[in-house]
Amino acid sequence: MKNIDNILQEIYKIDSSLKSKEAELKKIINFILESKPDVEINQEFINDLKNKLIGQFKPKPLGWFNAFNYKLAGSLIAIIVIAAAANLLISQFYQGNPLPEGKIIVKNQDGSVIIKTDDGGIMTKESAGGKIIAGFVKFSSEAEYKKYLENSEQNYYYGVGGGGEMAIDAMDMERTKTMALPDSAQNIAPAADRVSQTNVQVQGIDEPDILKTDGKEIYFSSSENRYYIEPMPMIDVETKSIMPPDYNQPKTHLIKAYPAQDLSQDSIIDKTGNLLLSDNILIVFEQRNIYGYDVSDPKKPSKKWTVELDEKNTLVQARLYGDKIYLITSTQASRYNPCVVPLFKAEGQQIAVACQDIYHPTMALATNINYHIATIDPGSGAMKKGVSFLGSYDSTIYMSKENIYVAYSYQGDYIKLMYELCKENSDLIPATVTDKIAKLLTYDISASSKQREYEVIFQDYLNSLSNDEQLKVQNEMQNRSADFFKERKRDLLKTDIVKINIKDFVINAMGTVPGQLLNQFSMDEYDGYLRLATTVGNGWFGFGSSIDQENDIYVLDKNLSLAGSIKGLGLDEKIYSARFIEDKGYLVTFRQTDPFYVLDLSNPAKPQMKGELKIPGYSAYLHPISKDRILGIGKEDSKVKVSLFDVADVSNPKEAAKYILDEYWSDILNTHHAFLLDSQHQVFFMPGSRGGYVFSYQGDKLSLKKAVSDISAKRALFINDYLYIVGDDKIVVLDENTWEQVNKLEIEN
Amino acid sequence: MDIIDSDRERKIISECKAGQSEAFSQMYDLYVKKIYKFIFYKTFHTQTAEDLTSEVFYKALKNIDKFDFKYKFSTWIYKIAQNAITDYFRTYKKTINIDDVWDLADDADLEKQVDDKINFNKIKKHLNQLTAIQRDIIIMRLWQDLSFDEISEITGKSAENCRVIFSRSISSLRLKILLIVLLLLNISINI
Repeated sequence: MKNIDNILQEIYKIDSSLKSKEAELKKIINFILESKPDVEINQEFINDLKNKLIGQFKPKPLGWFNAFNYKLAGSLIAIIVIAAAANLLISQFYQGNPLPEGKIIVKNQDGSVIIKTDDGGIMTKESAGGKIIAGFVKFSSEAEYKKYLENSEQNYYYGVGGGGEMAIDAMDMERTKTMALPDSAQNIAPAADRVSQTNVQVQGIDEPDILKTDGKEIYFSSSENRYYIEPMPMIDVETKSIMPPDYNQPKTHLIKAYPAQDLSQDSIIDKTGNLLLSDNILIVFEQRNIYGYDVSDPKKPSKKWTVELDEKNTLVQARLYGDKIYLITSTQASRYNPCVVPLFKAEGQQIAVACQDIYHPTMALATNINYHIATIDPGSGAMKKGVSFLGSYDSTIYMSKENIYVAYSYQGDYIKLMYELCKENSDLIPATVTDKIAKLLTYDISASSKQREYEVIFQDYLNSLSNDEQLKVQNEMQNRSADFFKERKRDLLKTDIVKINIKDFVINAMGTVPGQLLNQFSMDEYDGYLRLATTVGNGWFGFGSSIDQENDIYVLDKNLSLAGSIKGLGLDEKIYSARFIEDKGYLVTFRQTDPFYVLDLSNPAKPQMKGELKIPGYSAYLHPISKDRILGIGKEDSKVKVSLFDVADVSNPKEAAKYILDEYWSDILNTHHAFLLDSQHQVFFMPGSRGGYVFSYQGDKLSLKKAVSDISAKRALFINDYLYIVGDDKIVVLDENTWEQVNKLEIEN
Repeated sequence: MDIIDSDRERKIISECKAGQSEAFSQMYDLYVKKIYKFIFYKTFHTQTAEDLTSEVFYKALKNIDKFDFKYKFSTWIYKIAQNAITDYFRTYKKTINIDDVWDLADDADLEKQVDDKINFNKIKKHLNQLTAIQRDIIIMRLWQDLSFDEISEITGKSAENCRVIFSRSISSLRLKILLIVLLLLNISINI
């Protein structure tokens, strides 16, 4: 490629000695070029912004307009039906040596041995006394923790992660209970029969969002106004610094919502962020603080408690289930950090976990993040016991009514792969070399030391060859390794799943699947089984030869051992959305067209891909609207698209209806919380950049029932037959029977 | 490449200062996609890239009459863009100075918000190891396909200096992401 050659020449001009490394440099440059993100600049956005800017020049931009041509992607529609055979490969997904009964022996760094079994998780040989119990390994000392992390830092590129279980007794924190406040007169409003909830993954488990309602009051956190109209900030050209703009300070609004004619702002809380509502307590998740406000008198919200996250502690996710708020936070694991990891400050009381109390994986690892799980009692702010364990980045959190699943991905074991590659090519790599690598695998040393040893072994071998032989080995191995890594794409990047029981905070299982998850919808628990959708083939080894991505479905049993799988969906495509509903799964992969897959998961040991539909564009969010209908929201030709999938015949999914909205963005593409379904009226709401939209899906047709312009729409909710479209600037109330606007309220910031 | 000579640029900016919208729209056409990409590569998020691009041009428009001709327009507007990005991330994490999304590449929470997650994950651990200026230059050269002269204008560093930084960054990446495969296929690598 000419471009690469130019770049190489530029590099050589600076350092001619690099010429000898040309092959490597090429690979690096290629890799960076290949990793270039697909930037789709929306022409409409560009034009709109230009219009707005020109509008700043003169009151009316006369005669200035750019016609905008949408590029139509020429894609074909094909319907394919295949049934994939089930694969039962349990042990290969676990590190360590498989035993005949599916047990796996894992050797600890301290030489002790634990046994993983299919009926109880993990036990230590010493402590188990013949009984299988769950548990990982605690650090014995601060020194061990630091030593472990030192290795882990060097092992940045490979290794396995893991998890552990603990009960942080130190985190037990019962605060003085505040007495429940008497009901105020405000609450005598008529009660509503029908009240919408935030669109969440699991019914009954609430997820923090910017909008909550209890049927009487709307709680809404507005976002800051990023657009500068007047006055503009000044720029100091000398220092090239821009003075901070006068942002509209975002706030949380308490708005009397029902009856609709009484729509009015009750009060403002000068905190903003995602919200949860538990009885009379409004929980505000700010950057570093979590606040609990008593809102039983919405005119006078009063702060009851504050939980402050330590500056190094980051909120990963939160859920509200039953009478508890579940917090999943993470801290960077570093051997330079103090060995007591501070987590929270609550009313002056410091909550921390000693590093000896953090569980660590039992194997060589790439762990670099401590995950912490804790609960808050919404009424008092009291924090309860949690669990801490070491894991890796790229976490995805899913919570069912019984378990929290923390999943994170990491790179596979490369030395092992290289060993297998050498073994397969015994005509090129002599057994003496392969044996040395095999022996290396058994050494109880850190992965980085193994890497260095490996390099020495290989270098010695190459040096022993003549130049001609070297050339041959290099060329042959290059070709063969490309094929090898294509076959082993499932060993390159893996995802560990740690399953934590929410009753007692015991980690009762840990499992591993190939590939990487997209988001929380990539996981789902049903009937004791965990179903996962992963994309494989991306990762470090994509570097040298390009490996096509493909997508897999895994079904894991209650111990997170493999029950069944479907592999190789959507070659060269990646997952854009997934949704598991009872014994079915729906998957959208995308590169150019949008294959919509219907998965039959009724037999966990034999999941099947039942139907496939290829249509243009993609769906980024899937929502079931009835037993046989799935709504897909995504994009086609850079416009927002809604698809209604008919999945009544699983082997023959159809796109019953499609609607292309003249919008290039909807917040649903970013968060499922922006979506609202009202099945009674057979409508759903979508925010767009130019307003809010209400669609009807009645009679298998998608029609735009109502568009509300002139609102920076964010979310919607319904109370009885009133639909409230909530924007940063105002709330508009529609009567769902007539779709007339019945009220509106400007939100003052 | 859409490069205009400095005389013409001076003329256009003078017209902008004089309130001629046509002149501003010329500058806009010239830079909007570059700025958008610059921001996207530092945020990996479409909506944010659009928001910040809007912000940058509103700022540029409002401050154009204060623009000092001793600077290149590109240097100036990219600086506004970088400040907007830094401000944006400041609201995300108050405690540390963050230049771009790569500084946060290890943040599990932010990770959820990026677009094109696959490419992001593929490259982040490499870019994350470089300094902000090294990343900027690599991205501008390889992803934006800008010449070192253009990069020099944007960064305010000499083209030669940019070349050196680029070359050293690639070279250091080579050492850092020293692949076992490469070792196998190839040759001696002297760490």
